[in-house]
Amino acid sequence: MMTLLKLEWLRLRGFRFFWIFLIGYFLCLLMVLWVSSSILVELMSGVSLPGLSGFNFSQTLSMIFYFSGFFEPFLALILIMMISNDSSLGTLKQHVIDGLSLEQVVLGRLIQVLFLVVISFVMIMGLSFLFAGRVSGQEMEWPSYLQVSGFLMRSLGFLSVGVLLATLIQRSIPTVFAYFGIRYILEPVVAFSLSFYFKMEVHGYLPLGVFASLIQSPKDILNLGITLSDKGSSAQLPESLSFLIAGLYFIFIWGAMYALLKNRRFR
Amino acid sequence: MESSVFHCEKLSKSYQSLWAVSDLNLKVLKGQVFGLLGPNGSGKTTTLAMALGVLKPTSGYYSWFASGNAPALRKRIGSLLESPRFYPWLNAVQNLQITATIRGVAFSDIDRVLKKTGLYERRKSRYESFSLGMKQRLAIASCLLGDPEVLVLDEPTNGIDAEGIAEIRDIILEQRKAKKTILLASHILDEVEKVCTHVAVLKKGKLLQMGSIEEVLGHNIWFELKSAHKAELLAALKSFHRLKEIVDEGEFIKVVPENSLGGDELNRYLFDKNIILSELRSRQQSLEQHFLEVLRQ
Repeated sequence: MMTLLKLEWLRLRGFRFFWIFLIGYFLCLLMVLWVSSSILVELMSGVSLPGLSGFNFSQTLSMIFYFSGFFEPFLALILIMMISNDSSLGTLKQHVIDGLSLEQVVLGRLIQVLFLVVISFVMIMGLSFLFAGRVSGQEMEWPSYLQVSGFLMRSLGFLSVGVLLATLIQRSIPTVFAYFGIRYILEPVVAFSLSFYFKMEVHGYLPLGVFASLIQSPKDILNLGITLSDKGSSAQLPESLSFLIAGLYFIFIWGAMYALLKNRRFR
Repeated sequence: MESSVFHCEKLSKSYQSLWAVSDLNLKVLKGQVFGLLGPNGSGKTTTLAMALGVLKPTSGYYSWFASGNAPALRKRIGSLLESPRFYPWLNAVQNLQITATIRGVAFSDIDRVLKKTGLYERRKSRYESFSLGMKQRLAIASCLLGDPEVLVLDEPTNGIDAEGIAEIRDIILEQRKAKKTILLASHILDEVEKVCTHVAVLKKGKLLQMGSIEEVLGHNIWFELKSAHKAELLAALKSFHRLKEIVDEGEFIKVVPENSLGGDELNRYLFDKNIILSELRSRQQSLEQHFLEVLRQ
């Protein structure tokens, strides 16, 4: 395990785009927090709004958890490029020749995903601490385990989809198109079509929809007392079911990746 | 008993109706420098790709160190298959650190292999700035990391200039001297002949011939004889039952002996018949000539 961790770090540390996209992700989070906190500071000056009175660490965290979803493609791009490069440069083949098993290859990719999720989580925690202090003088309210596990599961899911597509397509640019296409066009269109023509509310069951539903939207965050199961896109799904479906998708994605690699002729 | 480093039984690989490798049986023993010969498309690289776990055999079996084909066994092998594969944005040391991590080799060995392959001065240069020859050298350096028991080299002199080829030959000979086992696929037959102890000839995925260099080429030894008394020489040779063929080539008489007959024995026989040879030349078919002949057959 430590060998794989070391290996992934050696591969990532010299990859220019890893640093560029990571910095880009951080700056986007920073920007969102700065803008949103500035708006809130403005709104809260001399006004008492029921939904805003408790904008503390927990709420800041929830807010940034939600918005970070828009910037996670930065992290997915790192993985997509790394995996596509491994295929096009033949370095994956060389690693297998040098003695890496397919299980280790898959585990190495999972480590990359976990590594980025952890970095993202640490960034968000740090920024939330910073900005919650800016807008709240109240006592610290810690985030619930559901908030945190929802964020972690969503990030793992979104990034895993990118990894699977990169493994399948093996070329970075087509993979990027496929990733964004599925996330922003295909899945919403499928969900809308089924809802419109067949009255089937499936968005909460589709992979990216399920992963997205694990995080509260800002509207829910500002209405204290609303639980996960009450919110927008996954309104029909209880939180436990959302987590269960997300978990099943996660297992399926990594199982599919192993099967793909097992039957692949390495270039 | 000599220990087996690699063996395969009925190893086959097909792509739809095309058999890239068909029922191949090979056995490579410890300390052998085993040359895999064959024209393009003969199945050399496919065989090595299967042996190195990157291609699934259609049927058959292969084993490393008589222990099966688990991926961990490949950590004991330094391999270069087809062409070097490294990250262009990393330098030589960083790329070798990745290989060392996978193979469980200490980073301290990196400088040694870079010096051996003449890349030490460029160790901090990015791989993308390397020439083709330097890339090939880095791949050889990667193979030598950790001083592995076995080297698998597929066309190791590709893209390397004459001086580089000689250096790689020296590295191979050094490994041979150190009793390391080498599995070498090459189409440069002159190189193979200089370094290999054993060869296997493949054509269209089938094994045509296998054995030690002596066994393979030993059948193709002949002598060229010259004497002032040519007629007596011819008569004496015709009465010698250990010769397979006698050809009068003008100035010289070419004789093809039985496998066990040496030049000294032939000379003694003729001397006993009162024939003094002014010249006796021992000739052997080069591997290249033999290879072409085998392929023609």
